[in-house]
Amino acid sequence: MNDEEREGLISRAIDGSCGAADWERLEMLAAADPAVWRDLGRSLCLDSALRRALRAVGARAEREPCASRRPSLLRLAPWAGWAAALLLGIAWAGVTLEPGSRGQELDAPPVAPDTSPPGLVTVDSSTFPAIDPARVVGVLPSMVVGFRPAAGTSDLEVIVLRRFLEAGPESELRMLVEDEHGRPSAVPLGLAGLPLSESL
Amino acid sequence: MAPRSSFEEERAGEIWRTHRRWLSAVLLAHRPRGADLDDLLQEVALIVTRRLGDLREPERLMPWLRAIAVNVARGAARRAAAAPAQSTAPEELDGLAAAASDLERLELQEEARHVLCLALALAPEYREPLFLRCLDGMSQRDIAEALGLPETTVETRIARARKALREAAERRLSRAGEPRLPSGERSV
Repeated sequence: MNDEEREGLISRAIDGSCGAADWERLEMLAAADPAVWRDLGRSLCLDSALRRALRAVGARAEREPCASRRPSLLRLAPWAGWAAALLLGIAWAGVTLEPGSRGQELDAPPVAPDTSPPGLVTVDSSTFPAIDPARVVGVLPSMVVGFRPAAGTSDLEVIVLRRFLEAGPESELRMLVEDEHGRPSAVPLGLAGLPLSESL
Repeated sequence: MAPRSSFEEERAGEIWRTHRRWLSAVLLAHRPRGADLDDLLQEVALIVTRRLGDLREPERLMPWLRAIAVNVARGAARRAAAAPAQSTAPEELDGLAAAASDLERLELQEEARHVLCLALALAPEYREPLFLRCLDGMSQRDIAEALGLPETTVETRIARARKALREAAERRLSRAGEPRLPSGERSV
Protein backbone atom coordinates (compact mmCIF):
# COMPACT_ATOMS: atom_id res chain seq x y z
CA MET A 1 0.00 0.00 0.00
CA ASN A 2 1.49 3.34 -0.98
CA ASP A 3 1.40 6.56 0.96
CA GLU A 4 -1.25 8.06 -1.29
CA GLU A 5 -3.65 5.23 -0.56
CA ARG A 6 -2.87 5.32 3.16
CA GLU A 7 -3.65 9.04 3.36
CA GLY A 8 -6.73 8.56 1.20
CA LEU A 9 -8.07 5.99 3.64
CA ILE A 10 -7.35 8.25 6.62
CA SER A 11 -9.08 11.13 4.85
CA ARG A 12 -12.12 9.02 4.05
CA ALA A 13 -12.25 7.83 7.67
CA ILE A 14 -12.29 11.46 8.81
CA ASP A 15 -15.11 12.25 6.39
CA GLY A 16 -17.04 9.19 7.52
CA SER A 17 -17.12 7.86 4.00
CA CYS A 18 -15.13 4.68 4.55
CA GLY A 19 -16.83 1.56 3.29
CA ALA A 20 -16.36 -1.92 4.73
CA ALA A 21 -13.56 -2.62 2.27
CA ASP A 22 -11.83 0.63 3.24
CA TRP A 23 -11.95 -0.27 6.93
CA GLU A 24 -10.60 -3.69 6.17
CA ARG A 25 -7.66 -2.18 4.28
CA LEU A 26 -7.07 0.33 7.05
CA GLU A 27 -7.01 -2.37 9.72
CA MET A 28 -4.63 -4.46 7.63
CA LEU A 29 -2.35 -1.50 7.27
CA ALA A 30 -2.55 -0.65 10.97
CA ALA A 31 -1.70 -4.21 11.91
CA ALA A 32 1.62 -3.75 10.17
CA ASP A 33 2.10 -0.11 11.16
CA PRO A 34 0.25 1.09 14.30
CA ALA A 35 1.24 4.67 13.43
CA VAL A 36 -1.79 4.65 11.15
CA TRP A 37 -4.09 4.91 14.19
CA ARG A 38 -1.96 7.67 15.65
CA ASP A 39 -2.05 9.62 12.38
CA LEU A 40 -5.79 9.08 12.07
CA GLY A 41 -6.31 10.33 15.62
CA ARG A 42 -4.16 13.41 15.08
CA SER A 43 -5.81 14.23 11.78
CA LEU A 44 -9.23 13.87 13.40
CA CYS A 45 -8.25 16.35 16.12
CA LEU A 46 -6.83 18.81 13.59
CA ASP A 47 -9.89 18.48 11.39
CA SER A 48 -12.13 19.15 14.36
CA ALA A 49 -10.16 22.28 15.31
CA LEU A 50 -10.16 23.49 11.72
CA ARG A 51 -13.93 22.99 11.51
CA ARG A 52 -14.37 25.10 14.63
CA ALA A 53 -12.22 27.85 13.16
CA LEU A 54 -14.01 27.78 9.83
CA ARG A 55 -17.38 27.76 11.57
CA ALA A 56 -16.44 31.17 12.92
CA VAL A 57 -15.52 32.28 9.40
CA GLY A 58 -18.84 31.01 8.11
CA ALA A 59 -20.69 32.77 10.91
CA ARG A 60 -19.09 36.03 9.82
CA ALA A 61 -20.15 35.38 6.25
CA GLU A 62 -23.70 34.80 7.46
CA ARG A 63 -23.75 38.36 8.75
CA GLU A 64 -22.88 39.81 5.35
CA PRO A 65 -26.09 40.91 3.67
CA CYS A 66 -26.47 41.08 -0.08
CA ALA A 67 -24.87 44.16 -1.55
CA SER A 68 -28.12 45.29 -3.11
CA ARG A 69 -29.40 45.93 0.38
CA ARG A 70 -26.26 47.32 1.93
CA PRO A 71 -23.39 49.19 0.29
CA SER A 72 -20.29 47.09 0.04
CA LEU A 73 -17.91 49.88 0.81
CA LEU A 74 -19.56 50.95 4.05
CA ARG A 75 -16.83 50.31 6.54
CA LEU A 76 -16.38 52.63 9.47
CA ALA A 77 -12.83 53.15 10.56
CA PRO A 78 -12.08 52.69 14.27
CA TRP A 79 -11.64 56.44 14.60
CA ALA A 80 -14.90 57.25 12.84
CA GLY A 81 -16.66 57.73 16.16
CA TRP A 82 -14.09 60.24 17.28
CA ALA A 83 -14.28 62.01 13.92
CA ALA A 84 -18.06 62.22 14.23
CA ALA A 85 -17.72 63.54 17.77
CA LEU A 86 -15.22 66.13 16.56
CA LEU A 87 -17.54 67.30 13.80
CA LEU A 88 -20.46 67.44 16.20
CA GLY A 89 -18.27 69.38 18.61
CA ILE A 90 -17.36 71.90 15.94
CA ALA A 91 -21.00 72.22 14.96
CA TRP A 92 -22.01 72.61 18.60
CA ALA A 93 -19.37 75.25 19.20
CA GLY A 94 -20.42 77.08 16.06
CA VAL A 95 -24.05 77.12 17.10
CA THR A 96 -23.57 78.05 20.73
CA LEU A 97 -20.86 80.68 20.34
CA GLU A 98 -22.59 82.83 17.76
CA PRO A 99 -26.06 83.33 19.19
CA GLY A 100 -26.56 86.50 17.24
CA SER A 101 -26.31 84.84 13.87
CA ARG A 102 -26.72 81.07 13.57
CA GLY A 103 -28.68 80.76 16.77
CA GLN A 104 -31.44 82.90 15.36
CA GLU A 105 -31.44 80.88 12.17
CA LEU A 106 -31.90 77.70 14.15
CA ASP A 107 -34.91 79.18 15.91
CA ALA A 108 -36.65 79.74 12.59
CA PRO A 109 -39.37 77.25 11.63
CA PRO A 110 -38.24 74.48 9.32
CA VAL A 111 -38.66 75.13 5.64
CA ALA A 112 -40.02 71.66 4.89
CA PRO A 113 -40.89 68.58 6.92
CA ASP A 114 -37.97 66.19 7.35
CA THR A 115 -38.65 63.08 5.30
CA SER A 116 -35.09 61.75 5.30
CA PRO A 117 -34.11 58.40 6.82
CA PRO A 118 -33.44 58.31 10.57
CA GLY A 119 -30.08 59.78 11.42
CA LEU A 120 -30.03 62.17 8.50
CA VAL A 121 -31.48 65.64 8.11
CA THR A 122 -32.52 67.36 4.98
CA VAL A 123 -30.06 69.79 3.43
CA ASP A 124 -31.06 73.30 4.28
CA SER A 125 -28.77 76.15 3.36
CA SER A 126 -30.02 78.21 6.28
CA THR A 127 -28.76 75.70 8.83
CA PHE A 128 -25.81 74.35 6.84
CA PRO A 129 -23.67 77.32 5.86
CA ALA A 130 -21.16 76.72 3.08
CA ILE A 131 -17.72 75.54 4.07
CA ASP A 132 -15.25 78.37 4.28
CA PRO A 133 -12.03 77.12 2.61
CA ALA A 134 -10.03 79.43 4.86
CA ARG A 135 -11.20 77.44 7.89
CA VAL A 136 -10.53 73.95 6.45
CA VAL A 137 -7.38 72.49 7.99
CA GLY A 138 -7.70 68.96 6.65
CA VAL A 139 -9.78 66.55 4.65
CA LEU A 140 -10.42 63.01 5.84
CA PRO A 141 -10.98 60.20 3.33
CA SER A 142 -14.49 60.23 1.96
CA MET A 143 -16.77 57.36 2.90
CA VAL A 144 -19.27 55.69 0.61
CA VAL A 145 -22.45 55.42 2.67
CA GLY A 146 -24.92 54.18 0.09
CA PHE A 147 -26.09 53.74 -3.44
CA ARG A 148 -29.32 54.58 -5.19
CA PRO A 149 -30.56 54.33 -8.76
CA ALA A 150 -29.71 57.35 -10.88
CA ALA A 151 -32.73 59.00 -12.38
CA GLY A 152 -33.18 58.28 -16.06
CA THR A 153 -30.22 55.91 -16.48
CA SER A 154 -29.23 52.41 -15.47
CA ASP A 155 -26.31 53.75 -13.45
CA LEU A 156 -26.07 54.01 -9.72
CA GLU A 157 -25.54 57.18 -7.79
CA VAL A 158 -22.91 56.85 -5.09
CA ILE A 159 -23.72 58.69 -1.87
CA VAL A 160 -20.47 59.91 -0.35
CA LEU A 161 -19.83 61.43 3.02
CA ARG A 162 -17.13 64.07 2.60
CA ARG A 163 -15.36 64.90 5.81
CA PHE A 164 -13.57 68.14 6.50
CA LEU A 165 -11.67 69.30 9.54
CA GLU A 166 -12.59 72.89 10.11
CA ALA A 167 -10.92 75.28 12.54
CA GLY A 168 -12.04 78.68 13.76
CA PRO A 169 -11.25 80.98 16.66
CA GLU A 170 -13.49 80.52 19.69
CA SER A 171 -13.31 82.32 22.99
CA GLU A 172 -15.56 79.94 24.88
CA LEU A 173 -16.53 76.28 24.60
CA ARG A 174 -19.36 74.47 26.31
CA MET A 175 -19.89 70.81 27.00
CA LEU A 176 -23.36 69.30 26.84
CA VAL A 177 -24.22 67.46 30.06
CA GLU A 178 -27.36 66.51 31.94
CA ASP A 179 -28.31 68.34 35.13
CA GLU A 180 -29.69 66.63 38.23
CA HIS A 181 -33.14 66.54 36.65
CA GLY A 182 -31.86 64.87 33.51
CA ARG A 183 -32.24 67.98 31.41
CA PRO A 184 -29.54 68.91 28.88
CA SER A 185 -27.31 71.72 30.06
CA ALA A 186 -24.29 73.45 28.50
CA VAL A 187 -21.41 73.84 30.94
CA PRO A 188 -18.54 76.22 30.07
CA LEU A 189 -15.18 74.55 29.47
CA GLY A 190 -11.97 76.27 30.44
CA LEU A 191 -9.82 76.75 27.36
CA ALA A 192 -6.55 76.76 29.27
CA GLY A 193 -6.61 73.08 30.20
CA LEU A 194 -7.65 71.69 26.82
CA PRO A 195 -5.13 69.41 25.11
CA LEU A 196 -3.59 70.99 22.02
CA SER A 197 -3.68 69.08 18.74
CA GLU A 198 -0.07 69.51 17.71
CA SER A 199 -0.47 67.33 14.59
CA LEU A 200 -3.15 69.60 13.16
CA MET B 1 -24.93 45.82 -15.11
CA ALA B 2 -26.80 46.04 -11.84
CA PRO B 3 -30.00 44.09 -11.59
CA ARG B 4 -32.90 46.48 -11.82
CA SER B 5 -36.03 44.51 -11.13
CA SER B 6 -37.06 43.45 -7.68
CA PHE B 7 -37.13 39.88 -9.00
CA GLU B 8 -33.47 40.07 -9.94
CA GLU B 9 -32.59 41.68 -6.64
CA GLU B 10 -34.45 38.97 -4.81
CA ARG B 11 -32.66 36.32 -6.88
CA ALA B 12 -29.27 37.90 -6.17
CA GLY B 13 -30.10 37.99 -2.47
CA GLU B 14 -31.15 34.36 -2.48
CA ILE B 15 -27.99 33.31 -4.29
CA TRP B 16 -25.88 35.27 -1.87
CA ARG B 17 -27.55 33.79 1.18
CA THR B 18 -27.16 30.29 -0.22
CA HIS B 19 -23.52 30.52 -1.22
CA ARG B 20 -21.87 33.12 1.02
CA ARG B 21 -20.57 30.57 3.53
CA TRP B 22 -18.49 28.54 1.11
CA LEU B 23 -17.46 31.69 -0.74
CA SER B 24 -15.96 32.92 2.52
CA ALA B 25 -13.82 29.74 2.54
CA VAL B 26 -12.64 30.48 -1.01
CA LEU B 27 -11.75 34.03 -0.01
CA LEU B 28 -9.96 32.80 3.09
CA ALA B 29 -7.92 30.40 0.95
CA HIS B 30 -6.89 33.00 -1.61
CA ARG B 31 -6.83 36.35 0.15
CA PRO B 32 -3.53 38.07 0.85
CA ARG B 33 -2.37 38.20 4.42
CA GLY B 34 -4.02 41.02 6.30
CA ALA B 35 -6.88 41.61 3.86
CA ASP B 36 -10.15 42.08 5.71
CA LEU B 37 -12.43 39.14 5.05
CA ASP B 38 -15.58 41.21 5.57
CA ASP B 39 -14.45 43.74 2.98
CA LEU B 40 -13.71 41.00 0.48
CA LEU B 41 -17.08 39.39 1.14
CA GLN B 42 -18.85 42.66 0.52
CA GLU B 43 -16.91 43.19 -2.68
CA VAL B 44 -17.93 39.75 -3.90
CA ALA B 45 -21.55 40.41 -2.93
CA LEU B 46 -21.54 43.68 -4.84
CA ILE B 47 -20.12 42.06 -7.98
CA VAL B 48 -22.56 39.16 -7.76
CA THR B 49 -25.44 41.59 -7.48
CA ARG B 50 -24.29 43.73 -10.37
CA ARG B 51 -23.26 40.98 -12.76
CA LEU B 52 -25.85 38.34 -12.12
CA GLY B 53 -27.44 39.26 -15.43
CA ASP B 54 -24.18 38.29 -17.18
CA LEU B 55 -24.48 34.68 -16.04
CA ARG B 56 -25.52 32.86 -19.22
CA GLU B 57 -25.33 29.30 -17.91
CA PRO B 58 -27.16 28.96 -14.58
CA GLU B 59 -25.75 25.45 -14.19
CA ARG B 60 -22.31 27.07 -14.01
CA LEU B 61 -23.29 29.21 -11.04
CA MET B 62 -20.82 27.75 -8.54
CA PRO B 63 -17.69 28.10 -10.71
CA TRP B 64 -18.90 31.57 -11.69
CA LEU B 65 -19.21 32.58 -8.04
CA ARG B 66 -15.84 31.04 -7.20
CA ALA B 67 -14.17 32.88 -10.07
CA ILE B 68 -15.52 36.16 -8.70
CA ALA B 69 -14.23 35.35 -5.21
CA VAL B 70 -10.79 34.33 -6.49
CA ASN B 71 -10.55 37.48 -8.63
CA VAL B 72 -11.53 39.67 -5.69
CA ALA B 73 -8.86 38.01 -3.54
CA ARG B 74 -6.26 38.42 -6.28
CA GLY B 75 -7.23 42.05 -6.70
CA ALA B 76 -6.69 42.56 -2.99
CA ALA B 77 -3.31 40.85 -3.33
CA ARG B 78 -2.33 43.21 -6.14
CA ARG B 79 -3.39 46.20 -4.07
CA ALA B 80 -1.46 44.87 -1.09
CA ALA B 81 1.62 44.34 -3.24
CA ALA B 82 1.41 47.87 -4.59
CA ALA B 83 1.04 49.39 -1.13
CA PRO B 84 4.17 50.07 0.90
CA ALA B 85 4.93 47.39 3.46
CA GLN B 86 3.72 48.37 6.92
CA SER B 87 4.89 45.42 8.97
CA THR B 88 7.86 46.04 11.20
CA ALA B 89 7.93 42.55 12.66
CA PRO B 90 11.15 40.58 12.27
CA GLU B 91 11.02 38.43 9.15
CA GLU B 92 11.04 35.12 10.96
CA LEU B 93 8.11 36.15 13.13
CA ASP B 94 6.17 37.98 10.50
CA GLY B 95 4.22 35.03 9.13
CA LEU B 96 2.45 33.69 12.16
CA ALA B 97 2.30 37.01 13.98
CA ALA B 98 0.54 38.65 11.05
CA ALA B 99 -1.76 35.71 10.49
CA ALA B 100 -2.63 35.49 14.17
CA SER B 101 -3.38 39.18 14.54
CA ASP B 102 -5.35 39.02 11.33
CA LEU B 103 -7.58 36.30 12.77
CA GLU B 104 -8.11 37.84 16.16
CA ARG B 105 -11.53 39.12 15.22
CA LEU B 106 -12.74 35.57 14.70
CA GLU B 107 -12.67 35.06 18.47
CA LEU B 108 -11.26 31.57 18.12
CA GLN B 109 -9.99 29.30 20.80
CA GLU B 110 -6.22 29.08 20.79
CA GLU B 111 -6.02 25.60 19.31
CA ALA B 112 -8.46 26.42 16.51
CA ARG B 113 -6.48 29.56 15.71
CA HIS B 114 -3.23 27.61 15.61
CA VAL B 115 -4.66 25.01 13.26
CA LEU B 116 -6.15 27.69 11.02
CA CYS B 117 -2.77 29.43 10.86
CA LEU B 118 -1.15 26.15 9.91
CA ALA B 119 -3.78 25.49 7.27
CA LEU B 120 -3.32 28.96 5.81
CA ALA B 121 0.32 28.08 5.22
CA LEU B 122 -0.66 25.21 2.89
CA ALA B 123 -0.56 25.78 -0.85
CA PRO B 124 -3.82 27.35 -2.11
CA GLU B 125 -4.68 24.36 -4.30
CA TYR B 126 -4.70 22.19 -1.18
CA ARG B 127 -6.15 24.51 1.43
CA GLU B 128 -9.10 25.61 -0.70
CA PRO B 129 -10.73 22.17 -1.07
CA LEU B 130 -9.90 21.42 2.57
CA PHE B 131 -11.58 24.63 3.73
CA LEU B 132 -14.63 23.89 1.60
CA ARG B 133 -14.83 20.39 3.04
CA CYS B 134 -14.47 21.59 6.61
CA LEU B 135 -16.51 24.78 6.47
CA ASP B 136 -19.81 23.41 5.34
CA GLY B 137 -19.07 19.75 4.82
CA MET B 138 -19.60 20.32 1.12
CA SER B 139 -19.73 17.10 -0.83
CA GLN B 140 -16.81 16.22 -3.02
CA ARG B 141 -19.08 16.57 -6.01
CA ASP B 142 -19.99 20.16 -5.06
CA ILE B 143 -16.36 21.03 -4.36
CA ALA B 144 -15.36 19.51 -7.69
CA GLU B 145 -18.06 21.50 -9.45
CA ALA B 146 -17.01 24.76 -7.79
CA LEU B 147 -13.32 24.21 -8.51
CA GLY B 148 -13.84 22.79 -11.98
CA LEU B 149 -11.87 19.64 -11.10
CA PRO B 150 -12.56 15.91 -11.23
CA GLU B 151 -13.85 14.46 -7.97
CA THR B 152 -10.85 12.15 -7.70
CA THR B 153 -8.52 15.15 -7.85
CA VAL B 154 -10.48 16.87 -5.09
CA GLU B 155 -10.30 13.74 -2.92
CA THR B 156 -6.56 13.47 -3.47
CA ARG B 157 -5.96 17.13 -2.69
CA ILE B 158 -7.98 16.98 0.52
CA ALA B 159 -6.06 13.88 1.64
CA ARG B 160 -2.74 15.56 0.85
CA ALA B 161 -3.82 18.71 2.63
CA ARG B 162 -4.71 16.74 5.74
CA LYS B 163 -1.38 14.99 5.68
CA ALA B 164 0.50 18.26 5.22
CA LEU B 165 -1.49 19.83 8.04
CA ARG B 166 -0.68 16.93 10.35
CA GLU B 167 3.01 17.14 9.51
CA ALA B 168 3.02 20.89 10.10
CA ALA B 169 1.37 20.36 13.48
CA GLU B 170 3.98 17.74 14.37
CA ARG B 171 6.75 20.15 13.45
CA ARG B 172 5.10 22.73 15.66
CA LEU B 173 4.96 20.28 18.53
CA SER B 174 8.63 19.43 18.11
CA ARG B 175 9.48 23.13 18.31
CA ALA B 176 7.15 23.87 21.23
CA GLY B 177 10.02 25.01 23.42
CA GLU B 178 10.58 28.16 21.38
CA PRO B 179 9.96 31.55 23.03
CA ARG B 180 6.50 33.04 22.72
CA LEU B 181 5.75 35.51 19.97
CA PRO B 182 4.77 39.07 20.76
CA SER B 183 1.18 38.32 19.80
CA GLY B 184 0.99 35.66 22.47
CA GLU B 185 1.12 32.86 19.92
CA ARG B 186 3.74 30.16 19.68
CA SER B 187 5.86 29.69 16.64
CA VAL B 188 4.77 27.16 14.00
